[in-house]
Amino acid sequence: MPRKPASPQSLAEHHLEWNDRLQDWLDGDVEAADGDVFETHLRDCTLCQQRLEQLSQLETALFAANPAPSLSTSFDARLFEQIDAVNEEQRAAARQRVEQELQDNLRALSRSWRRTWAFVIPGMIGGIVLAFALIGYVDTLGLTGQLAAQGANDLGTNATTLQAALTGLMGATIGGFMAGWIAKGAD
Amino acid sequence: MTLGAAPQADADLQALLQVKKYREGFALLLPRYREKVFRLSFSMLRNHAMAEDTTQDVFLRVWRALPGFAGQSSLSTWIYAITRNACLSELRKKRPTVSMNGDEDEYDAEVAALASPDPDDSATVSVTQLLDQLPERYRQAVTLFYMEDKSYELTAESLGLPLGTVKALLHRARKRLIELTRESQNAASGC
Repeated sequence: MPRKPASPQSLAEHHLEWNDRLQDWLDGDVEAADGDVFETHLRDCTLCQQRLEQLSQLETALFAANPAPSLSTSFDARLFEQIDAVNEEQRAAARQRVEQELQDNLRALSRSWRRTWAFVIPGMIGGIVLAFALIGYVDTLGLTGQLAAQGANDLGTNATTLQAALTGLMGATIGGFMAGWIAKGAD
Repeated sequence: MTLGAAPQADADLQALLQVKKYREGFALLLPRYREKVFRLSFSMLRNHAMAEDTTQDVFLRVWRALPGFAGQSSLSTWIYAITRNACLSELRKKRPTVSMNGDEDEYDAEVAALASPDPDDSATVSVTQLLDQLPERYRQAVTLFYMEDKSYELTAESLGLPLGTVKALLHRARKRLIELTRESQNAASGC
């Protein structure tokens, strides 16, 4: 004989106890609904039978009200069109980036060379002048003159010219190197 | 109740991404997630055209971001998160327009058609109208659950919510719908 809770309080308690199980059972989650126990209860409970009927109707209505919508047939084509546009955009951006990097590198190189030469040439001139000044001032015994004369004799050339050339070369080399380091340091 | 796709289902896809085969990976990913992303968008936006455009946008974002996908979360979690964010942005964009036009609920004609009064099918009419009276979280969970053929797992994954939360939302939503049905029946009968 189907039974029904008597008081409003027992009705609320009944809902609390069985409503979730009923919905679980209806959703096919038998484990959560504690299937056997629920089905035994359902056989005798008018309230749960009514609730089941209501939920079943609701379920049918909800299915009808929420059909899975479909994408248009051109969806993929439109998407790939956009992707191709993005790819072309990315390729163009990559090309521009590489070109920009190249330009930046060339500019940096040119700037570096300009700066280096701006230091090196005056450095070399300064070195030559300093070398001549030092030779003339320090070599009072004329050692370099004697060495130049000996070398000029061996090479069959003018001693003064050879001495001037060697002094100039030495001064330019040392001046150039020092200016180069200073330029790098300044970078 | 149907079971959702297991996370391992994307192992083939993840393998392609690891060897930087993004185009091949995307070709696998698109048919696998296209409809799910669309349904999630539709459940949030309630407008067919908007949902489709947003789905396009989601897959474009996915395509752009695929090389940066680190695999720290599952691919599906990542895609659904992108989808939810894209829909929320759309809703934010839409909101001021709606209020300016004074059109409070301009959802699709197609949805309206589903809800349109059909003299022979009063249950469908009332349930669609009643769904609009539910809080957004309830409405969205119910809509998606039935569109996803009653899959708790897919619904939970799409909404980025724990399974238990989705169950609770559904239970409360259906309970509320029954109450609303009763209220509307009482109102109709003049009780």
